Amino acid sequence: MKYIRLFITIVCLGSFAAFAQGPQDIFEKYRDNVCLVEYYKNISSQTKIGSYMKLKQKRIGLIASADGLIIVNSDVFPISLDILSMDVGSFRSGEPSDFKVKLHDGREYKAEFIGKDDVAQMAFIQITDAIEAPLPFVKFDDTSNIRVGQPVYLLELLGEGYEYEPLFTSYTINAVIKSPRRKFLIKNDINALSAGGLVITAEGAAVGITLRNGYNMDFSEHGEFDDFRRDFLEIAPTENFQGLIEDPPIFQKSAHRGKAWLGIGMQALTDGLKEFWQVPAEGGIIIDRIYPESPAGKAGLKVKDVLIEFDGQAIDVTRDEELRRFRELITNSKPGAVIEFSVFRDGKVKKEKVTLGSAPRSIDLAEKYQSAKLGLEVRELTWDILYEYDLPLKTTGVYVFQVDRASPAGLGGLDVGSIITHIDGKAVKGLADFEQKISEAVENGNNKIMFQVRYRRVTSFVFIDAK
Amino acid sequence: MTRIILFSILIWLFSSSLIAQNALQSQIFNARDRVMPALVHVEPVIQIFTRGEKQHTVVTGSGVIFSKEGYVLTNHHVAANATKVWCTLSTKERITATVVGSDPSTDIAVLKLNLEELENEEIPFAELGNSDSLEVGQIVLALGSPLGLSRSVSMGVVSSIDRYFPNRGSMVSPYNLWIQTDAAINPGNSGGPLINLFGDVIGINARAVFFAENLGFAIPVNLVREVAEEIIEGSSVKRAWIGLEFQQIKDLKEYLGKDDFHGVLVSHVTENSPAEKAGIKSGDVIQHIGKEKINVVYEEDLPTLRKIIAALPVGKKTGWKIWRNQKSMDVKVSAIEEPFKDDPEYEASEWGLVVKGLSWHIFQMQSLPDYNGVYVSSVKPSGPADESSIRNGDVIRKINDKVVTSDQEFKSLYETLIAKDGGLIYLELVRNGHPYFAVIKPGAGS
Repeated sequence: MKYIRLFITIVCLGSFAAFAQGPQDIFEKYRDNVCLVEYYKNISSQTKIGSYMKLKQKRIGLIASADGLIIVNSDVFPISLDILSMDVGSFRSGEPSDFKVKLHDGREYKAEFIGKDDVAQMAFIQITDAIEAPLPFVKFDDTSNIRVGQPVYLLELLGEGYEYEPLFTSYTINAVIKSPRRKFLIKNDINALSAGGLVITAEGAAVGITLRNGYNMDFSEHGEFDDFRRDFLEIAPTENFQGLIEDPPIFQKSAHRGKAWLGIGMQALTDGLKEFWQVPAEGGIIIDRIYPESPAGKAGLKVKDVLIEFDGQAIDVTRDEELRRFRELITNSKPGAVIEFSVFRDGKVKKEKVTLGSAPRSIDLAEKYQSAKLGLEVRELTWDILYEYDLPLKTTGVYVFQVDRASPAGLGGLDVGSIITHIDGKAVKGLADFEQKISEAVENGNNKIMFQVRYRRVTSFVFIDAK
Repeated sequence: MTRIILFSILIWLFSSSLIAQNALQSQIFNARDRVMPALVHVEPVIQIFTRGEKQHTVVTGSGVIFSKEGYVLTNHHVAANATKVWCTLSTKERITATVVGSDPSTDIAVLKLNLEELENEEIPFAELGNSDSLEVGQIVLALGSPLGLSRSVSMGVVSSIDRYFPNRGSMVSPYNLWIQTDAAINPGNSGGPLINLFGDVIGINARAVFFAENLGFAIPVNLVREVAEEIIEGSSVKRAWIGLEFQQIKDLKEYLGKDDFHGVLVSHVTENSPAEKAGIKSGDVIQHIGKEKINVVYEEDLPTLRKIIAALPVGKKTGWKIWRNQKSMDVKVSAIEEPFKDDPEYEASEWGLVVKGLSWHIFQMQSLPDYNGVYVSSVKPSGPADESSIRNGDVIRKINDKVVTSDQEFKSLYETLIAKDGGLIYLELVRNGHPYFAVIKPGAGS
């Protein structure tokens, strides 16, 4: 009997040892899921409109499906897709090209960019070459049990100096950020190739992806030195991107569908305003602007309305710094979702249903016309520009996106950011009309072309040598 | 014989160059002696607001006495917001002066010395010359206190007589065609005289370009004289305003292929302005204002046009001839008094904020629909305004539903409300061109 017990104990221990994964096993398990992504960044030339400078870039990629869906950081294409991501844009960025995926075993495949999500900071590329056998891919696990102090491993790639070899490091979760979007922070002291590394628990579960390490050297408004993000690496937990893996964002200029959008300008319901208006809520959002043709406007919301509940959930915002919590509530919803707001208006609380729209696409995705001869790139007017300049949506014209300083347009004094409303005294109806009017003026042999332009609300005239 | 002639010629050349040098030197001495006694080292104690806190600081500038009553010319940017002005005369006597008035648009200020503080109330003064007769290349002297080094003289020539600077942000000089000189001008020279070799003041030094060599700019004395006379008469300069922005027509003439075309191109019409009410549109060419023929071919011609407009009678209709779509037409324009005043900042200390009247720049930047409102120039950290999220740059349009028509109106509303003791103050503001709401709780914050 005694020997039987001993035997059972030994068998149990042995089997436990056989199932428990050491760091080496975890590394081996996930090593093939991490790949090197090569591509060209195309930077628009400032001296020759229409030409692009190619810069070779490398990023960490994570294989997300057997047929070759790869996750990379959204910085591979730094443009704004819709009006909600205005601060992401880089007006000199053309589409990235010539993607190549190198697997750990040395195989190489061509790939193409399919789309990105700037809120999640993730972009997706798809291998286009035929793949001989299904690829090993990462399956992400639930993260609800992740706690501060938990040991994790980080699997990344080293830089060029180390020939992009895998880098495996053990860390501890130093903080769990809850709002406005859940994130983990770990203290980071080793530089890897890029964001996009895989985060794995000591039990071997993949639970997150590293994000760009944003240095923030700003002085905060209250005078403290805000070094909150220094040396920290941010990790997006599974729930922030799992939906994207299942239904990746599709980048298609004409059919781009923006994030869920309400279409208001807002400020926090401060204690003072709450007291003055006697709003029966702890916090809320004051609408200080309704964008024309927005879901909020169509639903009858008004400037000075105070939103106090979002689908029965209190909107607990009392400082402007907290507004992004409300923005997250909206962007985490789906376009077309019907939200019931409790609205405080004229001393009474009412329920208002609003069907969220999708955010209008940004100027970065607008159709363009380039003339290297005149030295300009103009784009069709998008709502973000008209909202920004407070112009009616029926405003016609084209937006000046780029000007070559040494060209006729540059020498004539045309400024980036202005709207060309008239050519030679005739209204510009849109991009095609602009192109036609320019061609006519050049064909007619005019010495000069007269543009009437407006910058925000101030108008002026620009004369351009056409010869 | 040839040698003797050659030798005599050499001697003659040498002595004549010596004579010429001596003549120039004595001209410089004479000019210096005519103006130096009237030179003033100006030290205004100015009031500034930093993060909502009132502070005082002393700045250094220059000035020149131009009348026996003790009137001194200096720059607006030297004397503006002065609570007290100390003046050190050439005799090294130090007395106080009062600011009679100042004009930000031309950067001219007039002080009056408190002569009763002197033992001998008779003071020397400089003669104002004629800047229209200046020529490029003419020798000039700049007098003043560069970097606080008083009673300094530097010499150079007039480099240009019609330098024009377009408005840039808060740097505006719509009426000035500057005299450019290579006579050394440094901070502290501001307000000092630029003189010719006859000892006449031909300009007031006002600007220099840092990191450049010998690029100084003076306001022509003829403009200075006009403005100073108006200041002495009424303490401020009143100008008519119609709400138009202009462009020179050089390019338009080429575009139209009309060499004999004259006028000025209207580039922008301010919403709800007298010009818009008169039906003027951007793209119109103004050819006559009253009987005055307008011709702004180059940007250097713009200040003359602006002076014509500024001098229009307020509230009375003037006939203008404009050219639109190849046709000439007449319009009647009734100017108003310029709605933008550069009054000193006003501190609403109980609310922890400082306000200023609107400038055209703020009016445009904030896309305001009318000229009502005051601009928040400074907010005290953790004060009531800061606690209610009011920021620098906001425009206060309404207080407790009352329209704030001007900085004076703000002051009176503020004084009434603080006398009432307590109660929430509801403000409607404009921030970045859009409405913003705030409630000030007097006594809130630290």
